[in-house]
Amino acid sequence: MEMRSALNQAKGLGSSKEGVGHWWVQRLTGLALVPLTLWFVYSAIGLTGADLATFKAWAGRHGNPVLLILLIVVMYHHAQAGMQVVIEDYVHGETAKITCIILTKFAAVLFGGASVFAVLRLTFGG
Amino acid sequence: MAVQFNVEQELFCRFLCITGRAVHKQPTSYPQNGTQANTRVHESKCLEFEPGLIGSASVFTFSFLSSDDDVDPLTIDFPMPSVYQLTTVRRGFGRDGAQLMASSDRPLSPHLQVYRPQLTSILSITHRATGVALAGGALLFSHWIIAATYGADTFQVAQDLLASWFGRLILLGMTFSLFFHLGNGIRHLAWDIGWGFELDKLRLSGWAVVAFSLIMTVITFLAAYAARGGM
Repeated sequence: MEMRSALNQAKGLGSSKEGVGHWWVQRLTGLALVPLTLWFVYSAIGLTGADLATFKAWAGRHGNPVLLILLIVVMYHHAQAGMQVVIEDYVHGETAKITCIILTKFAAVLFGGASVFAVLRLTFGG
Repeated sequence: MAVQFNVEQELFCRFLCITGRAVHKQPTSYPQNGTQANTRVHESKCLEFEPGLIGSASVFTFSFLSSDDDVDPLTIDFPMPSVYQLTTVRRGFGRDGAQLMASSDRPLSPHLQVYRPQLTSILSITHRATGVALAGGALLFSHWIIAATYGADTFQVAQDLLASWFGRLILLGMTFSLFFHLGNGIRHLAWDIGWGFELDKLRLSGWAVVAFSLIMTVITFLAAYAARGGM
């Protein structure tokens, strides 16, 4: 016997109430991180032992600020999504689990936001 | 030789047995890596009981269903207040062996320790471990880029930290983690579009990821040392 309503089936969200949203975010951010991280590793190799002037020149050049901000946002989004799954799997006890997930998401926004702000400051002076 | 039990005692034991309230807890060993044994408590319910004598004491012997062949049946002395301590929430089952098997003797998934390590499982857990490590690497990245906004001296401290032997060790780990997670992530994306589930392709792509991450780590470090102009 079909226990789900027609609306529920149409929305396709299932028992987790969010459908494949989380799964899709992990894939999409992961895919975006392939070129972004390769670009960053390539850039970071050239920045080994660099002084601040060299670093600032690189960080402000052409599209680099945009790529840096994209890297930061997508990286932290991907990291918190992945950490959530790890926490859900290994932290037992509902209170501890929810607490860990919330702290992870807050930390991701905090450090991601601070990093984006740092890129803006490096780009626009200060 | 007469066994000294009264009717009440016998009925009580029968009640414990048929309601599944007599539960035998025993440590059970699973093989781990072929050598070590991993012990966990294994519960099984009473199948039948039998009145008898041990020495001069009258005892009921409870037999339990078990996955191990060499388990001794539990012997309970009379009077047996301890039986109440053996009582658990399991109830409502008869003596049907199939029912007992279905309820209590099935291992829970995944219990990693009972599996022989194989390429697929090792790469899977390494994907997770490198992912968690890279989350820490993200913080290191933030520290580095934020330090640059605090002026030349602060940035130099961050650069020196990365250039120290400890910093290099961390960067080595981060580089490997990044390339492994990237390579295996692409492997995951390939699975998502339906490619590579066959066992031979799984092994081939798995070893390819291992080779890719090792080679790229070496190349990255060689390039970094070349850019730096030596050690």
